[in-house]
This record gives sequence, structure tokens and C-alpha cells, in this order.
Amino acid sequence: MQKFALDAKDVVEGKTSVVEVSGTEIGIALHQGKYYAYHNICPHQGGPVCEGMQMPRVTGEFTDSGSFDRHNFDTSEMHLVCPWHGWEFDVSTGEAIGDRSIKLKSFPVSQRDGKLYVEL
Amino acid sequence: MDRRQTAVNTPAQADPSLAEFDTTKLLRNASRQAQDRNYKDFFICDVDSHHYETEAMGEILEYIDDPVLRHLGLSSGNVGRSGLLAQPIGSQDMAGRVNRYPGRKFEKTPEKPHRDITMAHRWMDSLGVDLACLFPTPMLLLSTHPQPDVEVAMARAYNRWLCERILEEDPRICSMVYLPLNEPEAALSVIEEFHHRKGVTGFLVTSNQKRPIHDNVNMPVFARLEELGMPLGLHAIYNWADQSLAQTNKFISVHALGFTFCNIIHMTNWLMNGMPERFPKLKTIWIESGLAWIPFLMQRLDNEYMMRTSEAPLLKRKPSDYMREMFYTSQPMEMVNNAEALELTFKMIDAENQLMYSSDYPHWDMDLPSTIYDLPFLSETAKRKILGENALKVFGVEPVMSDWKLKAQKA
Ligand code: FES
Repeated sequence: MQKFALDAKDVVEGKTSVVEVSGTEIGIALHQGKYYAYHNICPHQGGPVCEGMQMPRVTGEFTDSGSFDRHNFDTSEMHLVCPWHGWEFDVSTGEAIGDRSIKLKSFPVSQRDGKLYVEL
Repeated sequence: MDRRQTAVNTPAQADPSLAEFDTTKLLRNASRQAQDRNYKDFFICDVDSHHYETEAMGEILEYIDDPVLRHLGLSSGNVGRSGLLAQPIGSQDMAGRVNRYPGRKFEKTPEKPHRDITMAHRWMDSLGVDLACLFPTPMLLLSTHPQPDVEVAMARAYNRWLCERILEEDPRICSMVYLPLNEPEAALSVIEEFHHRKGVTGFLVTSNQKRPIHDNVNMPVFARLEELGMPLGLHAIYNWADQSLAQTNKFISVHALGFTFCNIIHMTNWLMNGMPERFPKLKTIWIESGLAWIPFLMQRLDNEYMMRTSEAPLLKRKPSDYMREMFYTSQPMEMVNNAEALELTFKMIDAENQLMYSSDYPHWDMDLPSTIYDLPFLSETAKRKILGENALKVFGVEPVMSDWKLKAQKA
């Protein structure tokens, strides 16, 4: 069933908004124009995964000869970082970066008249 | 190549609520776990938890006997500049990703009781912990301090402060106090000064010592602890200056290896030099190295012992037989996604009787009690022992239940 979550204007890129919908805490994130909604429970030890920082994927770059060059941030892939132990999850898929078979519980999001609804 | 700085979130930008940081709020999912699992009927003791003693350093320094060292600490205004504590390198908080590190300084606490007590109660009540064995954080590296007199002075001052300001005041907090084993004579006098103090459940050495653990100069210290029936805790740390660890270039590497490596070295020396035969009643607790190293070392040492038995003449049994009689703390428990491997590990170390739950809270790799409680292969009896009863036996103390559990039991 679709339930009202919050106004779209209250969700900004880079910061997850956490709301309670019918007793379930849900984090809503905006990335590259699309909204994503996840249950605010981390599959690791149950931390409030949506309340942590959003961080871009960290990449490592090396030269043609194979020498390490530098680290970088790849902002095309943003991560939800669980504040309890730092597990990171891809905002656009909910997958854990260290093991993509582990996923956050996601909810479909739709937008109507500037309002966001989640399917519970 | 574009070398411009990419803008990223700082903790405060990512989470403005850090300004109102509150441990109880951060850990509310842990409280739900405690309710769902009915911890109200479980006594839970956390054998390895921490506080940040640097936050109370002004108070601690007042307890230093040596007026010159005391003046040095107090005059410089901060610990970093005074040189009284070794400064660890490494981003424990993962650049702010684990937000309780940057957040804690904003957390509001009442004037009384001591802030450390309030902060401890908040996470203890959330996790469902009734009794916590509290250890320092930066001072875990004190044993690497190049000045022996500084190590001893800081150890005494910290222990005095801890006993007077925290342990005397709160029955739910205990500690194995800092033992400056690098200076065995001072260690002996520390034992005499503190063994009878309220809340002192044993003595702790950090696992980076200037002499090997089996050095003859340490024997009077172990003999005294055995005589008193007080356990010796060996708390792992990493020391990036260690020759082999110096080859690692990432915090993940030095931490993953360092925290087990130091206890592997001590345990090997402890066994090969027959310490369990010399001090058969001395209880040892191996702290914060996780569990995976224990089966590894049991197999490795047993195998070599069968071939080179004559090199360890004091041993009467296989190394693993002794290891199975020692005590271990659970955190950071590895292999949580491989129940089969974990079950075998538990069997190999006789976990039901020898393992003690520890959270390591508030550090970044902390474990909740559910890491033990949810294990499908443990009986209810085993869970109760690991989560609390084993610790009561080792420490020789009575259980103290938290207020919320007592209230919930009555309701
Ligand atoms: S609970 Fe989320 S990282 Fe551990």
C-alpha cells in the first residue's frame, strides 16, 4: 500500500532523510534525480543505517606502469554509511559494497504533486 | 588529470544533528534488540569496554605524585603537547563515517554523576549491559612510551582517578586496572595499592611490552596475582612501529594483524615457557583479538609441539589443552556469516565455559550482545554463561542488574 512519506523538497542530495511511516523507520535519499527508500535497519548488527553520512565511492588510481598514484572520490556512486561500524551501501541499489549479495530492505518510491510516497 | 579537490561531506555537514549528539538515540535499535530478546531476564557483563580518559585528563593529571610531571601535564594545557601520552596514528572513526567519534564531544550530560558514568550508562542501558569492565583508550598505548617514569606515573594517576571518581561512585562499572609491567617493581606496588579497591576485578597489561612476557623479572608479579586470585588481562593493541607491522600501509592492515599478532606472540611465549605450569592458578584473559586466531594457534603450536616436545620441557600437555583453560573476550567476533566455522571455533575453545562477551563500545568495531545471543548453535545455558556468568566467576563478583531490567522484571 502506498503511504505518504514526506515532501520532495525536504530530501536533498547527499543527506538521507529519515521518516517514520506506519511505524517503520525509512530513509529516503536522492541521487542523480531519483529517489530511493530503505529500511533504517542495517543488515550487519541492526544499526540506523540511514542516519549516517553519505559518501562517494572511494577509488584507487594507478599509473600505466602499475604504480599507485592516488585515491579519489567517485561521486557517481554514492554510499549510505552505517554510523555504527561503517558498512557502506550503494544508494542506488542498496547493496553492501563489501559483499553485494547483502542488501538493505528497499521500498518503491513514487512522487506526486511534490510529495513522496513509499510502498510498504 | 583533474587534481581539484572533490567536495565531500564532513560529518557535521552530513548530519547537522551531530550538534545534538545523543548516545541513547544512536543506539535505539540496540535497545529494541534488548527488548525483543528479553534481556531483562539476562545478566549481561561486558568484559571489554572503553572510555576516553583524555576527556578527563585535567582531573587525572592532578593525581600524579611527581610534581614536575604533574606540572608538565597541567601547564601545557593539552595532552598532545605535554608528551605524557603516546599519540596513536590511524583514523579510528574512518574520517567521521562512524559518527560517535566526532559526535561525542557535543553530547550533553548533567553535572552529576561524573560524565564518564553518565556516558557509560547510556550505552550500557541501550545494549542491555548490566556490568561493564571499563578500560581507557589512548592509554592502551602507554606501554610504548619511551620514558618508564612517565608510564608508571600516568598508570598510578589514572588508576587513582578511576577508583576514586568512577568505581567508588558506580556499582555497575568495574575495571582491571593498568599494570605497568615494563617496570615490574612498580607493577608490584600498583598491585598492592589497588587490589582491594572497590570495583577492581584484576590487572591489565596492554599487549605491547618492552620485554617478553616470560622474562624472569615478571615472575614476582604473576606470583602475586596468582596468590591474590586476581586475573591478568592482556589487552591487544596495534603498534605500527613494530618491525613486521611497519610494512603495512593501511590502518585496516595494521589493525587486523596487530590486534591479534601481539596476543599470538604473548600466548606463544606464555606456553612455550611453561607459564601455565609455573602459575597453574593464575587466570589469564586474552582481550580484543577476536576468536579466529585461537584455533589457528592451537593447531600450529600442537603440530610443532609433537615434533619438538623437548623444546618446551615445562609443558605436560599439548599447548591447545592449556589454551582451552584460558579465558577470552568475544569481540571483534569474526566469521559471523559462517556459522559452521564459528561453531567449530566455539567448540575448540570451550566457549561455553571460557568465553566472555565484550562490546568494545564505543570503538568502531563494537559488538552488540546479539552477536552471542543470536548464535543458533548455542544453548540457553551457554548464552547465559558467555553473556555474563563466566565473567562473574572469573572476577569473583556478584551480579548487579541495571535499573531498567529490575523495573521491567517487576512490571
Ligand atoms: S550495524 Fe551497520 S555497520 Fe554494523
